Amino acid sequence: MAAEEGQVISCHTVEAWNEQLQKGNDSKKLIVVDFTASWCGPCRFIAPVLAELAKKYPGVTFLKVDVDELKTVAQDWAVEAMPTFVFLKEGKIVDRVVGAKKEELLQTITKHVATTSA
Amino acid sequence: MNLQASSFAVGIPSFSSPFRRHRNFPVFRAQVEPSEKSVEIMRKFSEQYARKSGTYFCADKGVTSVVIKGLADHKDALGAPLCPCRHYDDKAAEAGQGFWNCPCVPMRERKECHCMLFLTPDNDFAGSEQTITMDEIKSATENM
Repeated sequence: MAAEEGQVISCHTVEAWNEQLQKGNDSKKLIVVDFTASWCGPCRFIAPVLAELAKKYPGVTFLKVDVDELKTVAQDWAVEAMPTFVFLKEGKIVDRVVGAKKEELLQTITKHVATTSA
Repeated sequence: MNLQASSFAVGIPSFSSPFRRHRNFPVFRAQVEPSEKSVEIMRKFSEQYARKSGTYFCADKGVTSVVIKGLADHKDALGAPLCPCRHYDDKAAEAGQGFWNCPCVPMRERKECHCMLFLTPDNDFAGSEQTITMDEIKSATENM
């Protein structure tokens, strides 16, 4: 969806989540999933950073999942600490960044964007 | 415990439309505000523990405020200040077990708080304060 490009897409239902995953897998785009929680301080700190990255990398799909909202998803994906960023490509987990680590997040995105376009 | 578990399954929809959730769930709630009493207890605890452990609050007190409210929220719901920056399959069981009740074992043993509530002075995000007022907490979290 062109309207969603450049934005972080919040998934509030398992259906919406599955739909986004399927879309990302079909398009072979890099997907970055931000697992967050409402009262997690570092999550709030990193949120504007992620929004900036989404603007900067319109070719990457950025998804946001609240672990209390989509409990089963958090469980299936073995999310323990928040924020956790999971990097996906064609349905496979290619990387994981745990914690509000701005630099590491940026580096991991550029690494996988480079391999996607290569 | 079942009651608690089901209330968590409802989740805390910060951004979703209340109308849609209304239809999907018989019980719904907006962003839950922890009780003022618990926020005050956790605020005081945080100040005391920062002093005791020689750690400092984040330079961005918004982070500190959100975590204190998260601890208060868990204290209200579970009776224990379970870490709000982790995901648990069973929150009630985890609170009973105690490992992640604040101050958690990694904090007590190694001064590791990935919630960024208690930061050692060498941490890039550490500020210079060990105090936070109720007004600071309120103003930092009013637009959530």
